[in-house]
Amino acid sequence: MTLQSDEVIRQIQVREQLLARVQALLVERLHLHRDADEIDPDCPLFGTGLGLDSVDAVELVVGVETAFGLRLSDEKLIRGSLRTVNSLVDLILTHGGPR
Amino acid sequence: MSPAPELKMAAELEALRRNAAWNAPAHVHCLRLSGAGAFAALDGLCAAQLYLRAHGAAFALAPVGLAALDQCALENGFFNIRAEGRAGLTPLELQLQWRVSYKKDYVGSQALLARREAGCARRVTWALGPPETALAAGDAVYLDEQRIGSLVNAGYVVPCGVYAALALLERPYACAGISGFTVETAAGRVPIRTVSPPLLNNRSVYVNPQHHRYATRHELALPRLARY
Repeated sequence: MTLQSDEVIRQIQVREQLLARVQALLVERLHLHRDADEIDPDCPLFGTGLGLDSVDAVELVVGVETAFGLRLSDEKLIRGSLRTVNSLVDLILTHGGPR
Repeated sequence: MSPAPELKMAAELEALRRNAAWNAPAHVHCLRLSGAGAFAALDGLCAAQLYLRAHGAAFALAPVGLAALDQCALENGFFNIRAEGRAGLTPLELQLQWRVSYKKDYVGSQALLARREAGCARRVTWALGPPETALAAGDAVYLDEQRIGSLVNAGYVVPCGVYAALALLERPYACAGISGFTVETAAGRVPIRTVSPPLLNNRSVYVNPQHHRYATRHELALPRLARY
């Protein structure tokens, strides 16, 4: 393993841990009738994807703020980040990661 | 004197046949219509198509072909049956579990369940290359000297100014937001960065028809078109 490989693997581990936490949050907080591993990272959250609605969106933002100790205030950034689990993870990392 | 309805419909159907991009028969199939109902629906679609053809240019609308639809699919992270759909992959590998049910019994459901229980060995992930370097389907992806996957689809994304690709990576490496992978292209080894789709901000998401008008589109404070 080179230094670069080690760094890539570390990045992947951080990301995978966050993904798992967001998937669990979706299942538990929004009461989805799916297992967490059924929610693919790039699965659309709204519309024909997981079928979330505007009420779920508010619940999701509050859930992310509570679970990760963040304060999400940029409405445009939030709106663009509610597409997939991966985009939510991007949002969390943009805000400095979990606290 | 206006043409007989039958002639009008025949002319509209001919227009429809000539422009496969509108794919009207597929819409009719989706509506599960047949006979008179299907003709009525086709008639409506023909009328809409003719209207758009006549007046669309004023609203920057134009008919497009399959290549444009394929490009949109790549940029927006949609499944493309003509690209990755031909790679012989399962919904698990294509990140399409949301489109299937594990509770219903259908052709292939048992095989899919067995694959899921065995664990998914590969998964598709979107990636961006450096400017001025073409990525192509079939190019191999590496972490250092270890081959970890290959590209199954690729195309140039004008607003981003780079090539985007859909990479099929071994599961431990199939993760967005990672820099450090490289791709063996025709021009040599280049770095890529995995990203989460969509690559573009679809502005229709930000436009509220109750508040915005086409005439005021230049006044809207829309986000940057390219996400990366």
